Amino acid sequence: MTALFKRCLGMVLVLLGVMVLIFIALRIIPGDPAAVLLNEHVNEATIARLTATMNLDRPLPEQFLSYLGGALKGDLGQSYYMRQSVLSLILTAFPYTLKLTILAAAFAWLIGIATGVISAMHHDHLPDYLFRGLSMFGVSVPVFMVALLLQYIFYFRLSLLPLVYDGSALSMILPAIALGWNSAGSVARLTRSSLMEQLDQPYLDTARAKGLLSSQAVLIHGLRNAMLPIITMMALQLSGMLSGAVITESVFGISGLGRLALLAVQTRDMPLLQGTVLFTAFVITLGNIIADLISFCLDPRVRTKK
Amino acid sequence: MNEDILLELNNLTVSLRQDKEMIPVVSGINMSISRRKIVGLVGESGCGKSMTAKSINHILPSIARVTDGRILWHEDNGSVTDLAALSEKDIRRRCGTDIAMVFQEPMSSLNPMMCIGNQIKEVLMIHKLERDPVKARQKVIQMLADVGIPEPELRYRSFPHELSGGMRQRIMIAMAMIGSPKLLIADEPTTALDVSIESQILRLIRKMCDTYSMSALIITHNMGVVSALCDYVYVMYLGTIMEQAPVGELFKNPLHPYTKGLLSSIPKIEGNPEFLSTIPGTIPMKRTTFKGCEFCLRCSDDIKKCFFEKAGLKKVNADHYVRCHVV
Repeated sequence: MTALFKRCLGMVLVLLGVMVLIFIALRIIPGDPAAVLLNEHVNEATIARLTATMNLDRPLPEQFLSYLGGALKGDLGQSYYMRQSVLSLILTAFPYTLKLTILAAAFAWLIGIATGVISAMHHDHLPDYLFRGLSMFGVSVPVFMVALLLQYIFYFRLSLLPLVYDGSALSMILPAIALGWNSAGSVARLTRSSLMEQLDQPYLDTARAKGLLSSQAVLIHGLRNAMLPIITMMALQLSGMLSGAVITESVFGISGLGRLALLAVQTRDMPLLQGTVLFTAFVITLGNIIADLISFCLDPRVRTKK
Repeated sequence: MNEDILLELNNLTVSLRQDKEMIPVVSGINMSISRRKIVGLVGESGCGKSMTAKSINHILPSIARVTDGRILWHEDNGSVTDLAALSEKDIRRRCGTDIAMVFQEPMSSLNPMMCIGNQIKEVLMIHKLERDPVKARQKVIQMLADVGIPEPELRYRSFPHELSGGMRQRIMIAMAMIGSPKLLIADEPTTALDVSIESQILRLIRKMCDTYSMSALIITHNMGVVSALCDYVYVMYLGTIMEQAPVGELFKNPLHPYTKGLLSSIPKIEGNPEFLSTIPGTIPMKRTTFKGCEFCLRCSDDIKKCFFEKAGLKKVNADHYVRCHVV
């Protein structure tokens, strides 16, 4: 319990650090947001007036403290470009990202674990070579390439699935595969190597001596022991996907967090960018804590040590 | 010895695949285990004892294979089954119920992620010996008490790392006994334990054999274990049985130089503590087919013939056989 408390405290510190860093970084990079926001042909006075209303003329520490105070109350400021509260923008975009993430993770883990297990159980035989090749392809081909290939095959060639996201469940399939592709490859590789380590453990002999078939022994006893590193990896993948997939969302036209962050960068929308970065950091640190919690619950050895 | 046999190994040969070549590690041994008897298989590390044991319930490592011979299981109704010829499915149906096994290293032989109660209960579930989970749990707790685990209800939820080595081996024994098998194979059951725990575990195995009228095959390199536990002994060297005799006879009248060497390697209380007899040399690493006696290179009594001709098994008296030119 104290360990969990410590982790939560650590999470708060990390988030604070992220806030400071992104705040400073956005003030260092050249470009005046007030000038970007207004058109080219405005006079200095107007820019100064806008700068004042956006509180950008105050000293930096004061700006930061007021931002921090707002953030603690759940107010991440107003987006310059969209003229809306940053939090509501993030909350509107998040469900799309969430849907995409769940589908992508389901695809990646089902395929990844299944092929990894088959590879390990037939290691150095045909299925293993096949799946190892595929998983190599999985981890090494970039997302945009996979996305374009999928669109080419399933829309242009086969006309089976929609080209971009149109709100229907069917149109979410290609983005999910594209986003899950890399994860499936790395889960498959980790599952294979982690399970292979367990295969010559004596407890599998015990399981067989009890009357389990070799395959049952591997699935019931071996996989359980092999799952720990895989679960940690999966939790990290999950938080990575949840914080928004810039490329996948852009290719398939999904207005999720990734596109929101991209928009914020393009329009130099400081509050929105700060908000999305902070949200990403929040999701990732939370994912880490959950990964620790899961392995804590799963592994009796860690549980006893506390 | 021939009456009421449970298991018979008939010319059993086990080979290891090494660089696409099959190298025999157990070369055509004959053994038999009678009902309600404890049989010892003695020899140094690497001489094929474990391979012999693991071939019985088909848990040989993937590079090893039974290449010849039969493993004959005498059913209660008198019919005989060759275990070596069974499919994986058929042999697994017998594992846990007919044949159970206790391993050398109780820590790594238990699943570290599963509580010990469930690991024992699994045997009942696999073979559908008990369908009701509550009753199964009670049976497991009773068995834990029988093997001498204090507070069995509490210990049911323990994990292997929370127990001492002796406790873990008791758990392994409970796991082996819960299916009330007819044959217990114990592969170096006390090698990884303290000497003080060793005698407790040996007594427990003896007690279990008596209460369940079970046979046992005890694999060990320790002549002390043999004398404490076994009724009949096979002495094995490099995959060949060198001598076999009832345990009293073997200790009184050891004939093979290897048996003599093993016996004199036991420290004696009244002996000179400065001097402990050993068998010179080690088991050769590279197994090659060799014309002569397997032991001749380390033998103290060898004659010229030993290098060129294998000795046959000579009958000494009723149950005592030895494979040596000199005897």
